[in-house]
Amino acid sequence: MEEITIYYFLIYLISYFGLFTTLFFFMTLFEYKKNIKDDPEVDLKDPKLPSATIIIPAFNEEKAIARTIESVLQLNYPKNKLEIMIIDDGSTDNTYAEAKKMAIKNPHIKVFRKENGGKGQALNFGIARAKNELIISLDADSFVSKDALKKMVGYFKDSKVMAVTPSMTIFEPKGFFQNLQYAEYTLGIFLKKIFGLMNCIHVTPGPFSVYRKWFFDKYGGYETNNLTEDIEIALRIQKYGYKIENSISSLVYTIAPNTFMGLLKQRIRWYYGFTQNVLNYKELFNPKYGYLAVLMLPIAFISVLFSILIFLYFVYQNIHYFIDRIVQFSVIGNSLFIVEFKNFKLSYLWDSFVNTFTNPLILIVLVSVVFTLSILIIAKKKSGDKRNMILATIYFFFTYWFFYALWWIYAFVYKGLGGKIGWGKRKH
Amino acid sequence: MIKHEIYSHYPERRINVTKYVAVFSMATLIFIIGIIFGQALISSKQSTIVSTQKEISLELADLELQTEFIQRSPCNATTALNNLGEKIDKLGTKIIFLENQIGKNDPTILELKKPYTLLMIRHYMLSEIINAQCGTNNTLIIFVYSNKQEYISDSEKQGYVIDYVKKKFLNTKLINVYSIAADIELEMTQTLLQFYNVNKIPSLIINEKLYSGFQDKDTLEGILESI
Repeated sequence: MEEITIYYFLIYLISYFGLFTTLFFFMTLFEYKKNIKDDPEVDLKDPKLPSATIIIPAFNEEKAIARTIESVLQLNYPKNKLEIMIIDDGSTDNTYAEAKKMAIKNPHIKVFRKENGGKGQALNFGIARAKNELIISLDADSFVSKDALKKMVGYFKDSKVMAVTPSMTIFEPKGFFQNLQYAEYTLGIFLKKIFGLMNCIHVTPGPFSVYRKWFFDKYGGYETNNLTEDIEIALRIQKYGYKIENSISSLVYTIAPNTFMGLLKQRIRWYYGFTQNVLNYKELFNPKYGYLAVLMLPIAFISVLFSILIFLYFVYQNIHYFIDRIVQFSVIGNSLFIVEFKNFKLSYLWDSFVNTFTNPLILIVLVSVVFTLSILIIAKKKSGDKRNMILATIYFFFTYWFFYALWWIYAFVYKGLGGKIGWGKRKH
Repeated sequence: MIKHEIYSHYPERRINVTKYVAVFSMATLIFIIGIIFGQALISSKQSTIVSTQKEISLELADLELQTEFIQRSPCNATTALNNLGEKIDKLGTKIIFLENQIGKNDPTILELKKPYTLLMIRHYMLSEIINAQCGTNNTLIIFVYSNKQEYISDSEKQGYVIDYVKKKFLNTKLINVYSIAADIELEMTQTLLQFYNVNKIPSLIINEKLYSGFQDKDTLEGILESI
């Protein structure tokens, strides 16, 4: 009985935490209702419109680079205000050749080739050669929507704004893992806007974040030995007291890992990198940094802790069920399924249904589902993403919590056992 | 060129305490409503458990009387005895439901299991009489098990095997399985175990022959096919 009490206490504590944070986000949304999606207007003919250099670091991206460059070329922005640099970071495939083909047709595209040194180094290479006011990083496997830059640039009218982030989503999700990430990124679209409204964005993602160049001139470029340089730069911006905004309707599409191992490797790097960076910027937990200190960063860690706890407790509680099934299978083999199926009665389903839905914990699950669905609907509406998300949502609801905890646990166990996180050859 | 300034006084990073208080109040209110609703559900579930317990007690008394009646002329009551067996099985299912709700070792469960065990033994004895006197060829299996730590694993495995085998032979043999918990404090249980020299758990007594220890699927199928 004691175990059950701890379990229920944990569940209720976690539920309260989830309820509190979700209500806080919805209240923020309500407070700033008029400001969602209304990106500051800009006149593309205005001579004061800022110039921008788009830097695309690339490593072995021969398949995607042309499409990335094409999406940039289609940007609704005066060509004379745009410079595009492709930095081939020592690719061993035809990335350089593909980029050069595009450069021949478009004189404002410059292609550079350098020895492999990682994404941060490649970006710094481009920054050092850029002459425009704004720097935009773009991953070579990401594609930007036509009006993204136009929508984002207006935020720089506020002199305190140092960076603007887009809404990231998955490019043409196929299969289980990409669809799972599609729902996850959509949730992220909502959260990013809310964090932007509260000035507590903690990551300026690689694909199409826009920065003022002079920040790099004054405070230095990207950290080249950092696992997640996009988190580091955002925390640095926050540290010096500047603002990071978000344009919810500026969609950027990125290609996501489509295998369990590919996704796991990405998440180990992200989550370990996030932890490292936050520990390096411990001073940001000072309340003078506003909601970043008293809401966003604590939520990030508490939610991870709770996810891991609930995952471990779920496994512990249900391990008996799985062991029973394994034992049952071991004594009667494949016949288990045949016999069970032959004698299945509909009343078993009904009993199981009734038993589940009269469990008070199910109320908590239902409330979470309602909130999460609302967030997904709002995010889709405000970002303008019209794609069908039903499958992605189903995958997300049934499995995301499990994978999230698993990735975090794995990231730390892996590192704890001396695993190397990063890239063999410094990939992007 | 956009004008830019060095900005370091953080005036726009004010934390809205009122917002925190408002959200905290709303969250607490919703949470309390949720807990009240949850408690109402738990209470209704508990009353279902209590009423199930009462139903079981009534059914036990009912079935006891039926066995008394059948004993008067067993050969005329083979169908009635089979029906009784099914009802005892259903009763067993209800007891398992209660076990899952409130725990296998709950005192209420253990008390309910005593009259249930006696009823099963009585049915077993009647079935033996019918087999002997009326020419029926029912297979009678007493499955001796225990929920104690040292026996529970093998007992559960044996339970799965018996379930499987019973379902497999559903259309070819009438198999009555009497699951007797060795750890129920009943004189009759102890008498039964001593009578058949049961010294290992789990054990099966199939048509009065003892098979000690866990019997796997193939062994049990073989035994039943040879009967």
